[in-house]
Amino acid sequence: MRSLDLVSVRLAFCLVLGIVLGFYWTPALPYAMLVFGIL
Amino acid sequence: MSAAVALGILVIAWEQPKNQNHHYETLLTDSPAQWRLKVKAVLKHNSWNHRYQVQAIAINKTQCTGKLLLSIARDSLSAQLAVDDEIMVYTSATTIRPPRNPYQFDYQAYLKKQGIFHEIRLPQPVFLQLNAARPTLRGRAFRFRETLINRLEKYDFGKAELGVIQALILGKRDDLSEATYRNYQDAGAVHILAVSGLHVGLIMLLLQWLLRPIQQLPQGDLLKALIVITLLWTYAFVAGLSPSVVRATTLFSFLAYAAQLNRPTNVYNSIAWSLFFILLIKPLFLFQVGFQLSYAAVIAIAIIYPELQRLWSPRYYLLRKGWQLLSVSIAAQLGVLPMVLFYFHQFPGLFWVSNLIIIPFLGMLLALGFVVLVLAYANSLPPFLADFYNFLVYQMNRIVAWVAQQEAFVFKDIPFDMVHLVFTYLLIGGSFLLLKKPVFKTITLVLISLLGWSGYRLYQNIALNHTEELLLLHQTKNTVLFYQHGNTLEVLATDTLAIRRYAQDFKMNRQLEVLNYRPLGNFYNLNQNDLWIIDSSEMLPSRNPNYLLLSQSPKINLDKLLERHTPKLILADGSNYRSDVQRWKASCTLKDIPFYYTGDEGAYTFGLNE
Repeated sequence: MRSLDLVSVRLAFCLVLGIVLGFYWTPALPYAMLVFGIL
Repeated sequence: MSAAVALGILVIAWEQPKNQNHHYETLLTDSPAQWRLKVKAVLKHNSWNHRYQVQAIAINKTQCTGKLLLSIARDSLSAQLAVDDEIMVYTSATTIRPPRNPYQFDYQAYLKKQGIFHEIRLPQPVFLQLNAARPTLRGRAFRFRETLINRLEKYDFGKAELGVIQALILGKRDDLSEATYRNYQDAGAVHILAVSGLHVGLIMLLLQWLLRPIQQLPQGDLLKALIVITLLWTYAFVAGLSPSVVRATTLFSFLAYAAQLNRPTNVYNSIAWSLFFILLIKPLFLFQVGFQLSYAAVIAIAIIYPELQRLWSPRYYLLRKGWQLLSVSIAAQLGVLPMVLFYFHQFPGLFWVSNLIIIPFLGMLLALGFVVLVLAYANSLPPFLADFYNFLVYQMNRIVAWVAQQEAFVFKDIPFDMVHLVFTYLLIGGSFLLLKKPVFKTITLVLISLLGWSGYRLYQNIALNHTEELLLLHQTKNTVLFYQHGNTLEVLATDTLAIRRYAQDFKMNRQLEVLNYRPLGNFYNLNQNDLWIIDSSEMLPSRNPNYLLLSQSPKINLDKLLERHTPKLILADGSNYRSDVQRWKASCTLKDIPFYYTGDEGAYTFGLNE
């Protein structure tokens, strides 16, 4: 077995982080829009 | 990675009513309106109300979306609504109240996490039931499950047994008695009664085992995975497509698909992808206790189980199987333990006994249960099979009841908050890494989490010793003051017996040690501030009090009293009639004296150091 490639784990973790952030801290939304704008 | 965080923020923002164009909240006014509602889920009813989760379809004929809670007063004539039923009602929606006393169950926060912010209460079952619209898949599943239950009821199952069978196979817990449920909870076997990860996982294993021959065919692995996934979803349908079943089935569909891939995949990736996609579609799932417990258990099993197996691998078949089962149970418990303590404040010490005895038979019990269901549906269940199944469930209930009776092993009222939760997970994760790889980093992690734990305890103890607080609670038919100084709680109440359960909870949450009950007096001095209580004895204050508390609806003329005294604040608690409270409030507004009613604003904290 190749060494653990945990990209999906990191992605899922970041999504969870985003959801928690967005739920408890409403001003997070403009920042998220900005990130998408840059990307 | 930052895109994933941003995506998370976006999907959760999308769920907020103000970001949805047609959400009913944008059309809401204070005046009553004509609502068209569709039942999405039937909730457990209480003694007074039938309760539903409903979808708003239109307000005053304007199309809208959004979920609400609907309570309809029970009446001997009113039939219960079913999923997909549509009703028309003229009423107004109210916001869901926060709890009125500290540490009480926060229904508002609970529903907010399901995207529900308002409720509609119908004191009389007056509504217009509309002609059935096209049934949704969930509606069909609900009706199919009801049909199955009706067919089962025709057979000679015991009441307790039928309740457990419904919960075990169909995921319907409404007919389960309180006592049975508590037994399963105390025995650490409550997960058996909630159709979720455990059941779907077992069914997946069972199906994979049964369908092994298919693997011989060309493309057999893929075919097998597809059949397993289809059958899992069929089961989800039979179990009423409830959120917990849908969640678990999605997770195991991913695992079943990953299991057939011939490339070096690992279980962490499958779990992570399933988590990612479920949350992308339903971000609010993240805040549901069942979801958190399922994932904590699955992740812990994936990480800890292989290590436990490496630790010891017995040569004898039975011993090996027993150890495997025990390892899964220990791994899952380690994963969910901190959350169980955080949410339920109790820990079933004998979880391993009940799991070791029951889980080996659970697969068989489920498989046989399906046979029973199919036969009952076809109205051709032989009585001996019904009796045999009833006997099996009866025995399971007996074992669980016996385990639950060993009260010395059920640890209750354990104080545990968010900080404890974080440090405990760090400690479990750190200890696991330390056992695997004892290097400087892992030792530091364990030490930091231990230090954090004890540091937080120390901080709590110091803070506790400096606390002095007086609280007026909101209670109906009772007037209660909580006076906390240091680690002691003095409960002053007109009915001390009625407040015991809540006082115990309060003591546990604040981590207090001493609890004293005293009857409530009429006068208290709070660091130079006087509190006078006028109750049904109608004893009036002799001098001007700073605080005046009205309780038990005293028959006094407040206007007259306020001509002589001008208190800094007048309070009324839940022991008064609402009409009296309204009158007093009006008198206070006229005299420009602040008025506080616990029924509207919740428990009141007195400023002791003013």
